[in-house]
Amino acid sequence: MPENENREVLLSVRDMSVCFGKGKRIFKAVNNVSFDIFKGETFGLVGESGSGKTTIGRAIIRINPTTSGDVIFKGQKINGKISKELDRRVTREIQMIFQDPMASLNERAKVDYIVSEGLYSGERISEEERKRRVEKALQEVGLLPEFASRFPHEFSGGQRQRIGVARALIMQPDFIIADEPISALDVSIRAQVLNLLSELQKERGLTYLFISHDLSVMRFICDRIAVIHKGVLVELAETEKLFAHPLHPYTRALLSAIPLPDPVREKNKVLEVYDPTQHDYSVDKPSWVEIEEGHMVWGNEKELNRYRDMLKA
Amino acid sequence: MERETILSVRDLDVKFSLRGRKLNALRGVSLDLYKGESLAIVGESGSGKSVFVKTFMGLLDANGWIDGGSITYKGEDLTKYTTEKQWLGIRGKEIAMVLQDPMTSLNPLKTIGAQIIEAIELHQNLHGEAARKEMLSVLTDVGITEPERRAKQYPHEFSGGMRQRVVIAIAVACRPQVLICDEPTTALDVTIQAQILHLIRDLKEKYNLTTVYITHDLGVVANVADRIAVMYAGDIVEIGLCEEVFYEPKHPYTWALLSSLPQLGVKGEPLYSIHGTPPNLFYEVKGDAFAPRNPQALKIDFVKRPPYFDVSPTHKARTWLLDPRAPKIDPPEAVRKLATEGVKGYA
Ligand SMILES: Nc1ncnc2c1ncn2[C@@H]1O[C@H](COP(=O)(O)OP(=O)(O)OP(=O)(O)O)[C@@H](O)[C@H]1O
Ligand SMILES: Nc1ncnc2c1ncn2[C@@H]1O[C@H](COP(=O)(O)OP(=O)(O)OP(=O)(O)O)[C@@H](O)[C@H]1O
Ligand SMILES: [Mg+2]
Ligand SMILES: [Mg+2]
Repeated sequence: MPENENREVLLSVRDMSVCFGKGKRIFKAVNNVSFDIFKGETFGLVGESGSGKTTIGRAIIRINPTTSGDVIFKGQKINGKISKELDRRVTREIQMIFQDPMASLNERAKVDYIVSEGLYSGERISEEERKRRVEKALQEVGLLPEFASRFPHEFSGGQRQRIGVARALIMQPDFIIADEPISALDVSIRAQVLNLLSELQKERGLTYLFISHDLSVMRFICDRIAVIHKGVLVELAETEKLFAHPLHPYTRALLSAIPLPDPVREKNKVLEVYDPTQHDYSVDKPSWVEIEEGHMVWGNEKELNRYRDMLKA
Repeated sequence: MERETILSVRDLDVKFSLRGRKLNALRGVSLDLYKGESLAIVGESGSGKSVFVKTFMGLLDANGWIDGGSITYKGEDLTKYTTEKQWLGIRGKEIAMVLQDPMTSLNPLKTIGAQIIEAIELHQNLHGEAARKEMLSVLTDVGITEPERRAKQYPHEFSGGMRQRVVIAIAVACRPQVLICDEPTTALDVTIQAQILHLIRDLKEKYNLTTVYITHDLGVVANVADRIAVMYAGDIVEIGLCEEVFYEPKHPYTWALLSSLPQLGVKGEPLYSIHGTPPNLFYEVKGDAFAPRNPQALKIDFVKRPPYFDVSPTHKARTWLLDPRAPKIDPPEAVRKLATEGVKGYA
């Protein structure tokens, strides 16, 4: 979808930083990131472990406070101090599927309660209605309704992850931050969950921020992908553009490392290694530049010139 | 080619009791693990992969038990083990395990160095300065730079990828014969994943390890596996050399599994996914467990459990399709495409 100017922006992140710790031990986990997510799209975020992906998600849903910058949702600023009413709206309309299914599920609660927990804070519904919704949500993610009376530890890793998905879906949000929602799933259930997410997207016009390490899956479902390295966005482009013309050396290393489910090719592939010391930013400072329409990259003048040549070639 | 078998499992049954009901997690699994090989176990979530390997180490949850069959390791039947003391002779020393989440395997209150030294003292009977030296050398083995400084740090000061290296370091410090990796790289990005797989391969060569990988990532499987075992509903339904299972799969579940790969999908169209849900393991499974989800299932699939049919000396599958009397059914388009064209690389 190339005509980005005409598309409605649902979420806009502007120069956002998130820091942990204080004083001397301060650590900038997310460093001045900016991106827009359009209504109805699937926006992918990929990057090294510890690069700040989850922190970005958690900052958007207001779990982690932002240090600077703005988060604008449907035209309203939602980070920092906001009204109770807006807070409640954000809590309902933005849902996050958490990365670690074991840590994010209350071990002592039954699945029935875990899945419907969010409903207790919203409009009052009857017990029957609640049960019905739980059953529906469980079915949507491919779990048997009778699982409702079990505890999380009685499930396999993949089953637990689907409980997390059901828990988000039951709230009928507009915007879902899916943090590694499929990493522990087998390929077929993963296909089910992905199909479900894209079906819901078509039906309800849902928007996703999809965080994952699995670039094969991201290539399949994301409209656009942003690549993050140590808290800094290094590249952002439409999915196929990114795969066809990766510019930043970290993006190139990532793409070259994707495991291919094809033993002959996989066992013979050539890896590109990323060496962060290759950038000399001492004088010529880097910035976040739109190098061609809709294609952003992080680099200094010298690098950008090289990237422009790469695009021409 | 005769190969030395290091671990031999026969007709293994595992059950769990859940509020008075019995769940059949493993239903008669047999497997020969060859010395020095790299075996990947793939299959449906909940099919029993983790439970299967946990039985090798006496690590089943308290509500689970081995209900039949044998696990022979160096002439001993591990299913007969009753005491923790017996298991301590196996765990770590003979068979070590690396789990998906390194945080659960590390003690947050002890330094990285102390945790590795503990394993070394216990398993290599080295102490004091000798143990410390060995610890530093193991850290170097797994690619951690500045081991002196790093050894003094705590797990939370390490990134996910580094923690996973430490867990591998601890596992290898025990000098096991068999290293089991249950989803060792799911939480890591592909560049670090590639490094860790490389690392495990190097250690395997160096110490002549036998490795077992459990993973849902068929790309990783293609990278690491000499052989692949495919599990469904508590059983191995197909096993063969890596190339055999990818390019000439025979079981309809393996077909379905490969067809669901996003690399074989068409963007904007739904991905292939298997209809229905896996069988409820609280009930006795009749016939081929996959039959109710297989649109092309034969009548006999619902009645009688198929035996293994040999496809080659190294490849067999439990499906009636391989019976000489069965009608000829071709694998789906996507699976044939994988064999003829493969998947495209990137960049
Ligand atoms: N509550 C916290 N206190 C201190 N540091 C934190 C906290 N949460 C995250 N961090 C640090 O911030 C950085 C970014 O972490 P984050 O969880 O966002 O990474 P990620 O990209 O999601 O990684 P992964 O792929 O491993 O999930 C890491 O260095 C992490 O150690
Ligand atoms: N402690 C337990 N109590 C009851 N059932 C259990 C227990 N542990 C595992 N199970 C059940 O045993 C079956 C096999 O589980 P296992 O963890 O081996 O699956 P898996 O193949 O490793 O799945 P995944 O790929 O999702 O990790 C599942 O149906 C699971 O629900
Ligand atoms: Mg994360
Ligand atoms: Mg498992």
